[in-house]
Amino acid sequence: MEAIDLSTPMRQSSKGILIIFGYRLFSFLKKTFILLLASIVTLLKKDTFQTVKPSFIIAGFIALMLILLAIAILRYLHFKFFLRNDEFHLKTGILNKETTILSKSKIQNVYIKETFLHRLIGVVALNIETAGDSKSEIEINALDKSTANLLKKKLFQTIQSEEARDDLEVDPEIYYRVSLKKLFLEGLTQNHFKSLMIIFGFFVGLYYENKELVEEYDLEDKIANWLHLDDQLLANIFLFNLVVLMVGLIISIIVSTVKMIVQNFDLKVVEHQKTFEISKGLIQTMTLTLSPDRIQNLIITSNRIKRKLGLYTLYVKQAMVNEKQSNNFSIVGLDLNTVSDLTKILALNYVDLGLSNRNFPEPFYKRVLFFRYVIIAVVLNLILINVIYWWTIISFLMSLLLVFLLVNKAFSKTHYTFDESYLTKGSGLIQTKINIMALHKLQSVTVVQNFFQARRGLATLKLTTASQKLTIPYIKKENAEMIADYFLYKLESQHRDWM
Amino acid sequence: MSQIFSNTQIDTKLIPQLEALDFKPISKSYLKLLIFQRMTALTILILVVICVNFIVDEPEIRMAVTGVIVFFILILLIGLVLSVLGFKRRKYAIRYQDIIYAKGLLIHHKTIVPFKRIQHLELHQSFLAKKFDVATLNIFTAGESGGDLKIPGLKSETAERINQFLSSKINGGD
Repeated sequence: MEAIDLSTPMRQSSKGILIIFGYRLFSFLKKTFILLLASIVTLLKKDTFQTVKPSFIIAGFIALMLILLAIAILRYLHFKFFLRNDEFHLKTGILNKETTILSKSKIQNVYIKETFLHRLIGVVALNIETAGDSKSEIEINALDKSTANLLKKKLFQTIQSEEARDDLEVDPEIYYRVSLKKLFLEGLTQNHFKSLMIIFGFFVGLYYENKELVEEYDLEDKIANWLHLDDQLLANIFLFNLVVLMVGLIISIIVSTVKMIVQNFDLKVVEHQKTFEISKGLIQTMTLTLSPDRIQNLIITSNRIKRKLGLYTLYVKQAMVNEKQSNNFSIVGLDLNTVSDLTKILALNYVDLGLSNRNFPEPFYKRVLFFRYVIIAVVLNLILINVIYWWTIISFLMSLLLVFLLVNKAFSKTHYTFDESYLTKGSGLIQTKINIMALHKLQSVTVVQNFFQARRGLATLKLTTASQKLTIPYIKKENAEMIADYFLYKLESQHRDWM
Repeated sequence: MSQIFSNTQIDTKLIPQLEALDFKPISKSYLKLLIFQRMTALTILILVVICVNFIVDEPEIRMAVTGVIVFFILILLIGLVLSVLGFKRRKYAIRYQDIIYAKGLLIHHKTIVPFKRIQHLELHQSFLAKKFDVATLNIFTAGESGGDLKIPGLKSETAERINQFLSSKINGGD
């Protein structure tokens, strides 16, 4: 069955040398990019660069490449790993030897990555994540696919379970697979507001920087002519700005849709016996394997349009340092039934308590939100008045109305419910976010009360887990303490580990 | 009971309550240490202002530097007043299953860390703290930063005792 014995020390694939070398070269180039560019440019202009002959520079560059290659080979030779008992052993180090022993029970997830370079060479990278700081991630740069899959399987098998299961080789079940159409719709219905703001700001900056250029070439008039606008000054400017806005919006929609499709291409959720796998990606594919009890909390997001189309996104959150990577642990395009079934698989005994059981913060919270949003609105308006000609008191009043609507929306989305096992907390403004946290995953509880809250008998409850901090804002102080008491009681009276 | 507990069957009166705790204050010497630290900083700043006003000739630079330093002095003074006023709100309590620390005047925090979730402990005593016979106990959890507990100003002996007690809890189990 298995020709590969993972219990004796082995190296990664020899093609790993290329990978290591490639990445080191790439990061080196990234750092010295500007210097290189400057030297090339001056080389083209003159014969020498800072009195150094070009041949010297080329020789220096080749020498550097050789050194990087040598280091890559040495690293490859001094990287050995094996499995023994219920542990993963790793021995590395060219000069300073380092042995790492990882208990299988501490593994949060196994992450198999295939970048363009990997695919070219025919290997995959395997990362093992544990809960902890940045040093707790083990990276194996190159393994052939079968070894990687075997290692992955073995990492999730402990001695007890192994004996029971050696004869059963049940085929993993593909629980969910996303379609291209869904990805496309997901990309379209994303919250483009944020990216739009960024693009908008970018264009405004660009416009101001090139104001002279625009005036010199009468670009405004040319575009106005092209759009067949008449001479009314206000309409002219308004339409010009509107066009700019539309162009920005279209660009941001295209960019985010393409990004969504590329990142989530062929998203598959596969259910194994004890583990759970998410795989996706077009240019760079990744396969994430984890067991449900290593999940710290789940987040389900959607927005009004997405709900109509039946598109929900589920995020799986663990105790991780690598924020960028952890945002990848998402499953998009789920419809309501699938997301609720998936939630019940990943969060055992989860019961959706329904709308009628939702609790909300005290009404005073609306005042707090209003205050916060008004400040933002005032600042924004002050900026906009200076930038856009037609921004007037009317627009200011309209933005105040918007603030009022937003406050109500935000308040109605901030709800919380809990039962014996889980806390469900809602949040969000334009998007709707539901956070599901198992009570036994709590690390600590804090009751916070500021001066204004003290006068009204209110408090904010902060719940910390290994992956995040959940806040229940502006509830009655005695309720906050009751909930804290209850959660602590649940945590302390059970013998369940948080991982 | 309020409708929050409509889903649970437990009589909530039986659950240990946060309100009914007998909190212990931290060492008063810590207040003296805080005052000492800030007064020293204040004195240094005032001296700098005086020196600047004597040494530098140009009035604009003098005004500018004096203004900046006076600003920092004001901040320090406000901080000092707040520290003194809020000092008696710094309290801690230890129960059978967890440890609690409360602090803060304008924004009051009460943090509870169950023994089961303590990852490790650290006892710190700076050179200055040693003179005042106080120490700081750091309790780390696996939670995101902020979920940890930092109890400064404990009497050295008390800090050591609590440290030992918590260590035995996390190593030996209960």
